[in-house]
Amino acid sequence: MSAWVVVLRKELRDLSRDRRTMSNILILGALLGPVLAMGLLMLSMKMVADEAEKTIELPVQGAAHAPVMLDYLRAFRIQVTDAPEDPAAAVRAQEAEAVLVIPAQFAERLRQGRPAELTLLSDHSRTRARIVRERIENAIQNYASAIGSLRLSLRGVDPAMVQVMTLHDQDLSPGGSGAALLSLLPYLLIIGIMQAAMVVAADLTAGERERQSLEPLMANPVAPEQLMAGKLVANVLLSLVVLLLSLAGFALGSRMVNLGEAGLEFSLWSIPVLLLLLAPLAFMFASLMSFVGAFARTVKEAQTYLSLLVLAALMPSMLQMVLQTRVQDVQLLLPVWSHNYLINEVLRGESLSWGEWLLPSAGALLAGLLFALLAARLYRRPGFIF
Amino acid sequence: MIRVENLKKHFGAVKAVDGVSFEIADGRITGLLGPNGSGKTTTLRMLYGLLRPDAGRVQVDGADAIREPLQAKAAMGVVPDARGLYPRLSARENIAYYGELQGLRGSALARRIETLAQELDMGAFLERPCKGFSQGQRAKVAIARAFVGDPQNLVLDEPGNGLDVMSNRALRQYLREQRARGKAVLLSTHIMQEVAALCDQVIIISEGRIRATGSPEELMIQADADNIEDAFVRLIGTDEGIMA
Repeated sequence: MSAWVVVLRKELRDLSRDRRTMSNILILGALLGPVLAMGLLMLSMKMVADEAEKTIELPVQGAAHAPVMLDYLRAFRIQVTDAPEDPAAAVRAQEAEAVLVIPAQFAERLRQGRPAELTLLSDHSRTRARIVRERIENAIQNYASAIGSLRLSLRGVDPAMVQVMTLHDQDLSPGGSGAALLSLLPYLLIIGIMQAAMVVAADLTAGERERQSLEPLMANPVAPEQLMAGKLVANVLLSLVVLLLSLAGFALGSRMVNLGEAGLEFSLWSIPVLLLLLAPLAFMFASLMSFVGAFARTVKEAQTYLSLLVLAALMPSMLQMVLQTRVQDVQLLLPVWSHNYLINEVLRGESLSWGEWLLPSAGALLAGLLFALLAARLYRRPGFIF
Repeated sequence: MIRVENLKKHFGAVKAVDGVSFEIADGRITGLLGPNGSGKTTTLRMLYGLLRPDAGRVQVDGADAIREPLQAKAAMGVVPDARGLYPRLSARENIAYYGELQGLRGSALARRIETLAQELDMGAFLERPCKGFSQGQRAKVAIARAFVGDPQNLVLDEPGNGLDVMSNRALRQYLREQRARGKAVLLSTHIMQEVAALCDQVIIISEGRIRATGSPEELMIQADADNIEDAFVRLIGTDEGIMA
């Protein structure tokens, strides 16, 4: 049995008894992610569903000028109420999501066959208001075209004449319309792995120094690289356990919540696929964190450095979440950047090409190896021990 | 046996160790005596291979500490000043970890731990996690894990630090037993009683240089003093550090 295996076994035993660290990485890293993601998904889906179906209360100023139209709106589950004194202020204060203002000349212009103007006040920056607004606009548009069709029919013109084109909007995302929500998942998976790597790395080097156990440890007849390798492997294994747990959490959560509408198909098959895809990334994070963590004198200091590192390493993920660009060719070599994209592809049920398997893994393994070598050099420096 | 030849180490402009040579013989207890900051710990760290000397050689049972660090370390058990244990592991697990790192396995390791537990009287707390151990218990575990491989050379940096009378007596008794078994024991200290009670040979070091070498009696004669403390003060030529 090599020395690094001895170190690995000891570290795993030691960490498994550290209730705070374990609950930190297992509960926060593995479970909070899925719970958070599922919760967010559920909430936003419920919001969309609610707003699409519930009866809208629409305050209308000048309701007396268009009684027939307002009657028509009722068929679209839009309930007319009295307008507030200052409609714009009411919308700004979120007392009403939208207010319809019908000017006095509305009826007059309608009768004359001239475009009758009316105004819908709402706040475009609010997601909930957008759904309400779209429903009201849709209903009013409907009423307007109904009147238009009647006008044409009265004059002996087929209303279909003016309907020059019909544009069909067909959504090809695998599961349906809400697939954009997918973009959050890679981010949560990657942050889970990093969280685990960070906590473990802080404990394994800075913790050893803080407890004053590093010097006696290094006095053993074992090459410093063996000590580092054992700790590194312990870190990678724990990160993978966290990843497995969070994948299982996502799988379970997506079954309980029924995310079919959100376009999320979390098949059980994607668990081993993602585990294999992300294992090199876990190695890279563990080496990177071991290297940076080795500079810190205490666990607290290490955690400060490493949290900054987590933020920096998450930048590609955040960028991907916004840009949603396709990653290909040389870009596939970039760790995190490519992984983020590929997690999404796997979750959407796409199968990965050889290049998409090999390049990101090669990139992450190379970077991991580089950091591991740097960390190993640190282990040989006297300044590292004392 | 440990042989040190013309060892030098400087940190910036400070010459921490400035040409130190000595020999730690088998079957004897040698004390490295010096005031705080005299270069004791730096010398010891070069002995057990954690610091690279600027010049000089260290040989542990014939193995060069710089060129063959693993052989040299394997021939030596070290109790540094830093004696951190793993608080979540039991005393036995702490000792077993070092045992495995030193190449012991299975029943041989278990037997060795039993022996150490008897010699150091650790039976009462062997299976308890080290968190909350007293200083004396900690010191015993630190000594047991350092010597679990039963090396020929034992090196201890200020072993009496923070120990009460009973623990100190137990420690001295243990080191005497090791001497009787023919081990080479080196301990650094600034405590005079420890030297008088324990050491066959004393190396007095100050400002990185050796000031005198000999048995406690020889040193007292050399300095024309009737106790080791006075001898020490005269030999290093100042009382600086003693009163500190």
